[in-house]
Amino acid sequence: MGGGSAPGAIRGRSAIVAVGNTAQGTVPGISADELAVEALRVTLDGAGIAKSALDGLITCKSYGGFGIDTEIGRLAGLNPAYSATLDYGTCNFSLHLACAAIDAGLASTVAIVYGTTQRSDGNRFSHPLGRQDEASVYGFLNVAGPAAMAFRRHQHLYGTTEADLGRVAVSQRRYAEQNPLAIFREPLTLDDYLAQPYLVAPLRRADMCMISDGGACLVVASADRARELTDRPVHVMGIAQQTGLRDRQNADQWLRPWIRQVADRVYAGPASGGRRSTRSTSRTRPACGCCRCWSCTGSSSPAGWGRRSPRARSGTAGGCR
Amino acid sequence: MTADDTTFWAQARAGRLVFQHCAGCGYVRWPAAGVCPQCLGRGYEWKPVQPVGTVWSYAVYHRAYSAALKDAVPYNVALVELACGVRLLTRLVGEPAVGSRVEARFEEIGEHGVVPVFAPPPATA
Ligand SMILES: [Zn+2]
Repeated sequence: MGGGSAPGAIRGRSAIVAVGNTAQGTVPGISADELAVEALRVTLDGAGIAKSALDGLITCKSYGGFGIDTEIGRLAGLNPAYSATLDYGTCNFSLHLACAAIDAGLASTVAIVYGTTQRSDGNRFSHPLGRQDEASVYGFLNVAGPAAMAFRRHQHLYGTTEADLGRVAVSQRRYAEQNPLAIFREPLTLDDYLAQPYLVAPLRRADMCMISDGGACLVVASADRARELTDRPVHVMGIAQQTGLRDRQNADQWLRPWIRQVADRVYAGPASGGRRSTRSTSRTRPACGCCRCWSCTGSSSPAGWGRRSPRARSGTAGGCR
Repeated sequence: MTADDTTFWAQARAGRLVFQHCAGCGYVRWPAAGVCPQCLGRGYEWKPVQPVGTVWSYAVYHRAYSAALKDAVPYNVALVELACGVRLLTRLVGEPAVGSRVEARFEEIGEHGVVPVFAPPPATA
């Protein structure tokens, strides 16, 4: 496979230059689209980037029919060279779209924005009962159902324990304790986790994410523009996606076997020449010269970000204001 | 109306497990669909299958996500892989176990009348 043709090999041609979030949780008195624009405002302010620097806008539909680029762009007063709205999915697909648009020369500096008021609006991720179907007859409600089945299957196949799963929630809580915008910030030990009752066994409350109001924004720029916009760009080294559209007519649908294929391609991307790499080669210093991203600071995982004070990184990529 | 699964539920009330069999390639479709995901053909016939399978996994609901289920918790929902290839959401009767062999029974669940549930086959001593 020749260099540059490896699927997923973006190799630093674009970079995240700013990240921001609004308050999260219950945010009354503001519409979903206004929250998206508020996320854009705090992100640009925090990073010292002028709105006029933007020439691309990517939004994603949110609960209740909000999140359309024509509405958010109107509120934000933008006439971008490139704009798009995703029907579903936010961080992954929209980042890919931004990188693709930048690579194609359609835009150089793209804001990805999202806002939702689904907590205030009472989205319960439920399902209208009544019609004779699997949800109504067997009570198969809430995304916790397939997630619980997938984890129990994982336990059966690999011997994974509930304590193994609990360590995910415990780690995330440690990061949340340091994040002023996080909703759950009280300390959580593994014993605390295991003492929680099941919601949908084998999952507990701490395994679920809360339905919340809030806005978020990323600004992605070409490597050239990124240098002008921030001294701390986070270069995108590899992207890949695989979508299980065949849905329940897939074997192992809920174990999402595509994640492995995505990992193979995304970790192949950053290696020199696009050849398949191991995790350790993907941690070598990339050609982009960036020396702050997790892959070249030598920390063992992106989770290393969470141990820094979010305030210290406010306004630049990796910050959380 | 070819994505309509009412035939499945109606036949289940009579104690039969039936699915759409593709007229073109024989693939057994579930959930019900207007097109075969293998050969893209549209023709099909509802036909019975062997009512046996293996438990892929199951979840036990301790929380009622609908007021209608308040008295039902805790209850299980399982995914059973049938011998014909179909993966069917259902309820397990008896002690549930991933990987165990089960067969269909037809029992009444609440207001929905007789529906398929799955249980270990009777012990063969
Ligand atoms: Zn077919």
